[in-house]
Amino acid sequence: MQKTKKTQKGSFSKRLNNYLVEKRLPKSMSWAGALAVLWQHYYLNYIVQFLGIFLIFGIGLPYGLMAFGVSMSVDGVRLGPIGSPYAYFIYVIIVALVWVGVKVGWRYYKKVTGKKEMIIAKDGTLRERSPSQWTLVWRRYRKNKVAVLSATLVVGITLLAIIYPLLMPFSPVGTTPLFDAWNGGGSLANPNLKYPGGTDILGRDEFSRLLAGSEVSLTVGLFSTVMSVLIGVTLGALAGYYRGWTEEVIMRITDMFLALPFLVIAILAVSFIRRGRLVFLRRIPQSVVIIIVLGIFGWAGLCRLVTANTKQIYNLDYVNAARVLGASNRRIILVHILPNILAPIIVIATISIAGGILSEAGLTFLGLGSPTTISWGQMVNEAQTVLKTNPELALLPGFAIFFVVLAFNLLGDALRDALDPRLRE
Amino acid sequence: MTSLEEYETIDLFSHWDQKTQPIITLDNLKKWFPVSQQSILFSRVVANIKAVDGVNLFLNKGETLGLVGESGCGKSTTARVAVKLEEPTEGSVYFKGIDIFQPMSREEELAVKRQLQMVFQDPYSSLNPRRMVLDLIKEPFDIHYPDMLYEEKESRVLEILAKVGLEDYHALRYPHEFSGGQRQRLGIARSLAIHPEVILLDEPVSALDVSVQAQILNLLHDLQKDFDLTFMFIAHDLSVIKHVSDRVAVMYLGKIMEMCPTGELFRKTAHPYSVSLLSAIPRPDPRIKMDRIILEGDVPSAINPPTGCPFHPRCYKAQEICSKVTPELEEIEPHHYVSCHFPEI
Repeated sequence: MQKTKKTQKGSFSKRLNNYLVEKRLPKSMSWAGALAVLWQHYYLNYIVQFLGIFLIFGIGLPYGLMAFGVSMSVDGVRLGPIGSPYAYFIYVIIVALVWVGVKVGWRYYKKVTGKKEMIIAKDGTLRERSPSQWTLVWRRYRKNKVAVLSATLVVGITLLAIIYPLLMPFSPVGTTPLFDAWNGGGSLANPNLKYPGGTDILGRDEFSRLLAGSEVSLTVGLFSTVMSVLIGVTLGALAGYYRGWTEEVIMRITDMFLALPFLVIAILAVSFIRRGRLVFLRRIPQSVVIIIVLGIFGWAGLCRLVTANTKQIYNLDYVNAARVLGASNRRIILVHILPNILAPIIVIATISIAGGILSEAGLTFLGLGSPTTISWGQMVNEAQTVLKTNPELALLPGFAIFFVVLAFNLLGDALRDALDPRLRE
Repeated sequence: MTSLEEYETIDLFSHWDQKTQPIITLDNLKKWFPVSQQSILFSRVVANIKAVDGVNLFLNKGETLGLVGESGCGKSTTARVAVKLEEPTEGSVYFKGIDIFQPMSREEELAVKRQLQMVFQDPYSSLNPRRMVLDLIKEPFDIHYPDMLYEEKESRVLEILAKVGLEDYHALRYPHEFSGGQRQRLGIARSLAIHPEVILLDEPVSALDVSVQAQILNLLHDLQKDFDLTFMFIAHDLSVIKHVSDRVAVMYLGKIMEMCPTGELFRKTAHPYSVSLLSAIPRPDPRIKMDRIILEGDVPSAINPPTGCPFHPRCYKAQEICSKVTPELEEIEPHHYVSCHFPEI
């Protein structure tokens, strides 16, 4: 009796496998899952992951940065996300809780939607679930070197835009370098070891401003795209599904938006919101204004694409089959049509993030930005007057825009190749 | 497992009498597709494609009605109207005595759809490629029985998969991993999941290899016995029709030409069009001399069909009256309906 128990305990992989089958979990579960199996307690998985996140973000990162000589408080101003050292730890706890919450939510979702992961066939063999379309896409994507590179770049830039307060050597708005002229500072200093990007007209550290500018660029690019995708996909799906008058009206509105000269309208709209007669509109933060303008004027192309694709899918027999089964219109659109036209939407959205970043840079360069907002376009705008003596002030943010846009465009191309290999030919 | 009938909430068909009334009646059904000319702002209807032009049909409980005809004669459109995929231009469809195109509440509509299902021709486009088979076959339960427990749905799916000759673990696969025949089995399983009474089969085997065709036909035959199903079997292959159906309706240019028990169609063919169709069946014996009736010309356009009998320009028996008066579908013998002025018998 004891002997059998011992052999069962000894074969860890067998027990792991049994446990996964029993709990209907994928075999590719994390190391923490394996630890939990040892202790026969699944939720330990989350506790371990929480501790891991806490260790990395909460203690590891700040001390690691300190080891590299990067101070977290500059000019006596705390640069953490909330502003005080205690708040910083609260922030880390929130990050870890969100992480665990997402994991638990995902597990709950899996349980509710009841996605089976494996079935024991009649001959006793274990049949796993076939890879889903998204798994296949991911496998294709992984093979492409450019794709992986661009994804790494984009993830890196996004991470940078989130944790830049920890990386900045100086405050992006503080003028400490102005009073540090003997150590390489001052106004319009050339790049040197202490101030790697030099300083701008007002004596602010260019490198810190460059890092801080990534936040606005990415936020504007991402949220304007989210907005235009929401509008475009909703209207496009409605137009393509209901046809008739709905389609006619939506497509004429789309035509109108496509015919608008984007830059002129965007300049008008931004200056109306910033300096118009409606005073309450002026309180809206600068980046939110640009997000709204880009979102409202950027959905038309996507709407056309979605309409055309929806009409194409609408005629396929599986949509007819769903209608014969009595599926509601909402169900047909959400379950049968949208997942099948998601590939071009994702590609267009990725490229539209790059477009949003460019448009934001363009608008702020033209002087529609706010001097208090740190953005790359604004920095190029401010550097115009000293272009001859300090070209690096314009070149650095210019190259930053260039690389970010390039990364997103490459990502879009790579996604297109992975999502629909036929499109390449 | 409890029976699906226990989930039934409304009773729509209590007045229907199985012995006297047919389960489906198509009453002078017309489906015209408008051809419109687009000008700059407005479009105007120039002509109508008369895909279905006055079809009268009925299906009795438990039988198989074969619907044959050339391509483009309106067979599929008839089926699509009968399952409410299209609105008819004129006429109506009665299911168990209820006009399915009358205004209905969502519950009543679902109650009709629970009993009236369809299997599609192309097994490759009739399954959503993004969904796992389990989800595909589970969908009817999600729609009709949202309160059913997940475990019950799942066991019902596995049960129905076994019924159509697939394995349990096929539920965890995606449609692209199956062959054409298996996909058609999945299509049948999906329409069969909620135990309907009538299934319209829109050329279910014409996209398959001949050996697979036989398997699917045998499967359908077994299922009909198991589930007490009524089939409307659309095909353009007369040998398939002869194999599966109890009664046959021959269609030409949106109209029913002849409707009779299957044996009678081959023994006592009445309509000249049916005669010429039957003479076109290839015989596997080269010594048999065939008197083939070769029809002259093409099928007339459905936009502008001939006046009178639609078949008269190609008919070998046509007289003057044929181009003037449209013949009605009449019962010339018991259970033998023909629309012709000069039937062969």
